[in-house]
Order: sequence, then structure tokens, then C-alpha cells
Amino acid sequence: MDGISELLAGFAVALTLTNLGYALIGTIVGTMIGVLPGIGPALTIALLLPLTYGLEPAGAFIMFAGIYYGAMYGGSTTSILLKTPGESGSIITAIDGNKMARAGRGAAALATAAIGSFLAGTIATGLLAVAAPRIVDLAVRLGAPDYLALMVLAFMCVGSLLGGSMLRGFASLGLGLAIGLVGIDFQSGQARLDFGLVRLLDGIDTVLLIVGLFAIGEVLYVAAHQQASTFGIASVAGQRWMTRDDWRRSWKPWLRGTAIGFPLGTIPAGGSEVPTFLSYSLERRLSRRPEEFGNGAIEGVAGPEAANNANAAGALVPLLTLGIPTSATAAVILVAFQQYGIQPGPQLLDTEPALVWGLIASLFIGNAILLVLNLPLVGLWVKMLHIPKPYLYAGIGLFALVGAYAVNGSSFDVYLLLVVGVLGYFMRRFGFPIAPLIVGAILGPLAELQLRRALDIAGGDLTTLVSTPFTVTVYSLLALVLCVPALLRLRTRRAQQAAGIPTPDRESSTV
Amino acid sequence: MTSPTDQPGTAGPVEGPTPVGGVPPTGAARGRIAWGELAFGGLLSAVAVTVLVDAAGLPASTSASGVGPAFFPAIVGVALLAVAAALIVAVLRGHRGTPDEGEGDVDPSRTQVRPALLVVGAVLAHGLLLDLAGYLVAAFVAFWGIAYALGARHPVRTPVISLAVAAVVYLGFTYGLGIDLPAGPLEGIG
Amino acid sequence: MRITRTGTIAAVLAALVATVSACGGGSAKGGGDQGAKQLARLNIIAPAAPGSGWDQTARAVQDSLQKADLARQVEVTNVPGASGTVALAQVAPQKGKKDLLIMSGLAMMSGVLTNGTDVTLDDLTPVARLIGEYETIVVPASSPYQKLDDLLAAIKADPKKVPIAGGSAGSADQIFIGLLAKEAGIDPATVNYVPFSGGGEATTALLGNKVAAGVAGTGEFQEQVKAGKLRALVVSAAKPVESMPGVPTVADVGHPGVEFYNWRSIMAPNGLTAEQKKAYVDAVTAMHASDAWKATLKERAWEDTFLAGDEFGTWLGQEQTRVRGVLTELGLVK
Repeated sequence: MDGISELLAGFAVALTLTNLGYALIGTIVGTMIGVLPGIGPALTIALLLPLTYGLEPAGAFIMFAGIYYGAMYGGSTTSILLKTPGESGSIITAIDGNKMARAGRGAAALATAAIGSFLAGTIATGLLAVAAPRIVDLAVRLGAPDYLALMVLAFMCVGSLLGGSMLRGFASLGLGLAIGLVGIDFQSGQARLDFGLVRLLDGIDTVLLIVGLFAIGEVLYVAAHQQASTFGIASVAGQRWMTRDDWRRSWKPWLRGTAIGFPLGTIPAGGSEVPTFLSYSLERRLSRRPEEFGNGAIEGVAGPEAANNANAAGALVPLLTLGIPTSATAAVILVAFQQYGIQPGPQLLDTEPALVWGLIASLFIGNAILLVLNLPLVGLWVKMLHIPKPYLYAGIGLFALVGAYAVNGSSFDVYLLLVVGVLGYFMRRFGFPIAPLIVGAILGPLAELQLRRALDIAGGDLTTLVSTPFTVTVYSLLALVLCVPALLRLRTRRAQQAAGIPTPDRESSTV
Repeated sequence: MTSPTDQPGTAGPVEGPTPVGGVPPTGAARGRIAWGELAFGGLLSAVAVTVLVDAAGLPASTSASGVGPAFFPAIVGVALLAVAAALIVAVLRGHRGTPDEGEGDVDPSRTQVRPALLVVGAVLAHGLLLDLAGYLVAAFVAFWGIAYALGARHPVRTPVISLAVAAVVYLGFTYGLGIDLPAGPLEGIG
Repeated sequence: MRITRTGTIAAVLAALVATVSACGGGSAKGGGDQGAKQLARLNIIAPAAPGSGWDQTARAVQDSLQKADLARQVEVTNVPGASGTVALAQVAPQKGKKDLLIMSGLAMMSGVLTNGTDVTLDDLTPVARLIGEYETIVVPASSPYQKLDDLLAAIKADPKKVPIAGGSAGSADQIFIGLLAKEAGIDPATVNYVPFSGGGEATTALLGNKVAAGVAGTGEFQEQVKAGKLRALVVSAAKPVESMPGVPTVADVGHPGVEFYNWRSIMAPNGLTAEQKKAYVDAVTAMHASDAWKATLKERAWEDTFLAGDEFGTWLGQEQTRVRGVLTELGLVK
């Protein structure tokens, strides 16, 4: 299993004319939706899921690959031009990117983001292709206690790392775990928290949850608190792309960002916030002109953007090899797999090699399409923001509604979407991060499954939970991880205060 | 989606707040007890209690370990209760959350209740109309309602645009993607 | 000016939708009008998501009915949810409704029993049993259990020590292991049955020696058995199964009474006239004889378990008694 020949076969799948068409459509609509303010990659994919309902799995996933990278690129565009990061990974980009845009260097900021994302995405996808088969070899040896340990690690990281306060992170996580309980218990066949409603027996649909929390929550939030019904967009008309000096200053941050982003994405440590912050502070430390940071330093856009994209590719490693989603975006992709009756896990590479390698190849292709397409077309995406705000949000709302309805064709889901949306509104209003809720709702049932499976196999012996070297290592790591972020957070908060940008917990809830 | 703004704005930075709610902002002043957050803590406790009550009603385990369907809910319920209690204490001590300001021109300290309720109403109406009048009407009402709530209040242009968008989405899904949306009174045509 | 700009975007969107639809391809097909007994416009409810087993069966029926000109137009509607109980609850009240069929099967029967819903399979008119999949029990290649009797003896000695991987609670897998245990004089409730979800999760656990044995439909373990990584101890058929060469049948191991398969069938709402029912049975019987259906069976490796009309109805009653019995003993039905 060297991965190379499989990858080449993957390219053969992805490079057919039809599939290239899907990749192209994916990148275009992904960017188009991703560029809307407050809409990050997770919501973009959730909103666009219905588009793939009529497709064969291979075509659908190729389209997803395009949507995925398109949405990420769209997000950084809005961060730079509007200072409205659609997801936590773009927060840092907004600092110096928006300063550059206001100083008439928006085109350079967009270019370094696009090229950095392309480079990081390409390298990281390559690493994914190399790493996936090897991790699968390891994963086959893992048992239920090992999986449980990984999930506990993910819970703790997500709860404590995302958002400004640990308490609020865990409150959100707990709410997610409770939501995850709804429906028929897989292991006993008993219905839990169904309140006598047949529609709740299968639990609350993940797509509905994400679309409700983010899209409907967003529309309500804007309705309740907007101050103006237009956007303040920085213009890029007639500007030069990168100068020779910009190139010279960008290439190292791109590579360093990639080196930070990918490994942090592969461990279940919760989102792209940490790697982008790390990359930013590293670039500032290494810079000869640290005073420029916060005032439009191109390194402060190049590094974090690369880290963000590399991190996103890294997050596909645990998803494809272990079936564990570690971010809201990965969770939506998991749903997409499950819709086709495909369960990501160690066997996926064996059972669906064409699909997985086709997907990985499409990530390369989508990335390349983006680069070719987006630099010249950025003006077109910006025009999306000239749609009057009321219509833009009404459109987002309508798309969310049709997405929720189309899954089961039941108006019950519309009401459920509203309830979830109102919850999303209040969580944002009172400063609770939303991502932990989603991770809790998705990983919760998986963790319960592994916990009970481990205990069943061991005939009820509790020591089985720490019976392997792997579990001991993970729980020790966990102790470490819980201490380090406290220090990290102190540092990033200082960095932000110096830069005069909002604290992470504000935007982290708009993944 | 193809019209000039009803309230033309500048393409540059937003200059000062221009409320569009139609209702004066009713945000609470800083410093008072954060009732909203307390209520949220209450909601968490209520969820926790619901989970625990539901767990108590589940039958005993049939599995080899003796761990049944009530085990995990019990853990979740107790943990959630603890977090809710800690949260309420923290709020009473004056720790408040930072509202999300991700959209640039939102001001969470000022709340326009009416537009928000209008959005809620539009979504509710959408759900009701889906079964009664078909997708086209339901989508039209939802789009118009949300757009109106957010400030697009032209008496002719807004509904016309809403109808157009609803029709495009309906036709796109039914014919473009082959996803069935209820036709309502239009059933049988086409 | 804005009008033209946003106009461009609208044009792009329209083009995209057009492209997607072109790529998606149309499936509508006008049938010929020869054949007196041809059904008119049929709607088949697939009680699960697109791509699922029920969906595949429904679409195969759709395809074969149309190819054999047995129906002018057939549509498949997906109504997923709760092992098909959501779809059942939707179809059953439409008594006497013409041209409406629903896919059903063992999973729905079991789901209805375990969920304790008011609507049951008795609220439908049986048309025909179409296909099935046999169950098999496997152990890792390195396992000490050479024969089914070895495994059963180990369970008898200390059931806790013998974890068996299978599908979700109340699935065909658990029902089969329950039936077999009962037949072998073991209380089904004591079997250490550990539910796994699909997609090879159970295979991974078996290959990693995390569980003692696994039970699933033959398709799930077929490849690994052929590769010699897993050993099949029994297959739940009375006669040898083509896809599992050399594996003992339940008759071979002395338990012919537990012949069992995960069946799928097609049913209609209650309150039909005798003619309507006959028309359905005739159409499905003719479809079963058609080349298109035979080709599909072969292509998908589905076992032909065709049984139509009243005979199917009688069998269904017996199967329900058997399934309810074992689910009760497993503690899944009160």
C-alpha cells in the first residue's frame, strides 16, 4: 500500500469530463455561497447537500471536494474585504487582511491568501494521501476502548479550546450530547427522548442541526441586531496582484503555515482556530518588522491562510481512516458519506477505494481550479455582496428551509429547524460557542456506542477502558492538552488585544 | 434577487448605525443582572432534568455488561446539571458572555424584537403552507417575510422578487435536481 | 447598473442548474401500450433513504415493471425513518388507495415490534415476497472454534466470554443468533451480542480479534471469507449457497428449523378490492418471470425468494409469530 498507484487511479476517476464538470460546479457554487457573510464551510456544505442528492456517490464527492475548498476560499475573501470571517479559521486573516484591503492592497491580500491556500492545500492533500493508508494499518488494531479514548480527547479539546470560556464550551458540548441522545438507542432498540413523536425516532438530523444553528440563527441574529441594511465592502478594482516583494515575504509563511496546520488537523483537537493563531504568532515572532502585524502585514495573511487550508485537509485524516469527525465541517462530510450508506472507518479504503482516492484526487483538482478561477473572478464573487442584504438573508433562509425539508419531505423538519434556529440565536446572543454543540451531537452517540461496546466485550469490567497502551497514552496526552491551551489562550488574547480585533469566542460560533 | 437596494447604501465603510427595525432598540443596559443568560442556565438545567427523567423510565439492560440505554444519558444529565449550576453561579457573580459580533455591523446591545419575531413567523408560516398550499406559496411567503423583516419593504418590488425567487427554487429543485416538492394546488400541471 | 451585475450572477446560477440537471440525466420513460393488464401510474414508497437496500429494491422493481411493460409509469418515493415505520405510518391509513405500493421486509417487521408503534404490517395487504439475503456466522481465521458446535458449546459454558458482533438491536443478525441459540438450548438473552454499524466495522473488530464471532448477511463477510481471513461456520440456508461455497448450511449442522433470511417484500394498503389485489399479484408475478428482473437478481447477487399473494400472507403470519417470539426472549419486545 504505497498510496501512489491508488492515487493515480483516483485521478483516473476524477479526470473524466463529467466529474471535472462536477468539480467545477462545486468550486463555483462553493465559493459563491462561502463568500456570503457569516457562512463558513460547514454551513456551505450543509446548504449545498441537496444539490448532490441526484448524483452517484463518486460524482457527489467530487463535487463536495470542490465545494469544500471553494467555501474555504470564499470565507477568506469575506474576511479580507468585509472583516466578517465566516468561520473560526478565518478570524486571523481578517486582522491584517482587512487592514491591507483598507489601505488599497486588497488584491495582494486576496492573492497571497489564494496562492497560499493552494500551496498548503496541495501539500496537505499529498500528505493525506501518504498518511491515510498508514493510519488505516494502525486503526485496524484499535478496539472500542481506544476509540473511546480518542473521542474523550476530542470532547475535552473541543469543549475547552473553542470559545472564550471553558464553562460555556462545556455547556454547549453538554447540550449537544443531550441532543445526540434523541432517538432509538442503537444497542438496545429503546426510544429515548422521543416525546412520542415517530419523527424523532431517528434522532435529530445533523444537517438540520447545522443549518438551523448557523443559517436560521444567523438570519434571526441579523434581524434582531442589524444596524444597516448594506455591507461596507472594500474595493479591489484596478489593483495589482502581488509584487515581487510580496512574493518574497509570502513563500516562507505559506510553508510554515502548512507545517503547523496539517499535523494539528490530524489530531482530534478541535478546529482551525489553534493552528491559525499559532501561525500568526510565529510569523510575528520571526518577522523583522513585528510592528507591521495588526496594521496590514502580508505574512499575517499568508501564514494563517496556509495553516487553515492545511488544517482542513488534515482533518480529513481522522474522518476517512477512523470515522471520527473533529470539526463541524468534518461532521457534515460524515453526514454526506452516511447519506450514501457509506460509513467512513478503517475499512473504507478497502471497500470503497475508487471513491476515497477519487475524492482525494478531486481535492487536488478542486484546489487547482480555484486558483485558476478565483484570482481573475474575484470581482464576480464580490458582486454577490451587492445583492441587498434583506434579499441575501431571505435567500439564505429559504435555502436552509428547502434543505431541511428536502431530506425527509416533512414539514415537521421545518418546525424543528425553527426551534434549533432560535436556540442558535440565543447561543450567539449570550456568547456560547456553537461548534462544541455540533461535535457533541455527532460524536456523543459514537462515544456511547464505543463505551458500551467496550464494556460489553469485557463483560462489564471497567478496567478495560484503560487496558491498552494506546488508551494510557491518549489519557496522559489529554492531561497535557488541558493545561497547554490555558497558556496558549492567554497569549493569543494578548496578541489580539494588541491587534485590536475581536476575541475568538465571538466568531468561533460562526463556524 | 435582481434589484437595486430598497435602501441604497454606500459601498464604502458603514457610517454610523441606521436602524432598520422600525422599533426603537430595547437592549438592556450593561451592569444589571443578565436575565437572559440566567434563563439560558435555567434552560440547560431543564434539559438536564428532562434527560435524567427520561433515563429513569428506560428498561434495565439486557447486555452482557449490565450497561443499558440509561447509562450514558445519566452521565450526560448529571454533567449538564453541574455545568448549568456553575454557569448560573458565574452569571450571578457578574461573568457575562461576549455576544457574537461576527457580522461587522450588528450591535448585540440593541435588540429589535419585531423583525426577529417576523422571521420566526415567516418560518412558521412556511411550514404550515407547505402542506396546505404547496411549496411555491410557502417559499414566496417565507422569502417575503424574511426580506420584509430585514428592511426590504417596497410594496411591489419585494413581493415580485420573492415570487420570482420562489419560482426559481421550486423549478430548479423539481426539474433540475429531481427532488419532489409539494405542488399544492398546482398538482397535475406540467 | 446593479441590475446587470446581479443579472450576471443569476445567469451563472441558471447555467449551473441547467448543467446539473443535464448531468443528472432523466429517468422518465414512456412505456408501450400493448398488454391489457398493464397498470397505470404506480407509486412505490421506498421506506428508507436513496441508496439503501429498500431503495435499491424499489428501483429494481420500477425498472423491471417498466421494461416488461407491466406498468405505464412507475415512480419511487423515498420516505426514510425508523426502520421504515415512518413510511408505514404514512401508507397504512390510505385505505383503498389505488396505485400505491410500499416496500417492506424483515427490518420493518422487527422495527414495528420493537418500537411498539400502533401501526403494524397487519395494516398492509401482502403482495409478494421478492428477495432475501442469508445470514452467516464467522470467526477469525485464528479462532479455536472450528465448527458451529464449538462456538455454541463455548457460549453455553460462559456466554459473557464470547462476544458476538452483529448489526443494530433487533436486526436480522440478532434475530438469527437468537433463533439459533434457542434451538441449541441457550437462553437468547444471555448471548453477549455486541451491535456494530455497517461498513466493515464488525469486520475490523473480527480481524483485530476484539470479538469471538460475527454474524451478518452473507455479502458483508464474503470477501474476507474468500481471502481466508475469516472462517464461516454456518450459513442460514437449507441448501448450499452459491456465494458461500463449502460452508455448512443449517441443515448440515442439524438445525434445519432455523432456516432464515433477511427478506424484502412489496405490499399495498388495506381495503383493496379483490380485482385490484389480483392485478398487483399478477403484475409482480409477471415481473418476476421477466428477463430484466432475472438480470437484476444476478447482478446484485440477491437470492430469489419469490412468494406471492395468499401464500405469502400465510407465511408472513408464521414469520411474525417466530420473530415476535425471539424478540420477546431477547427482551426487545414486551
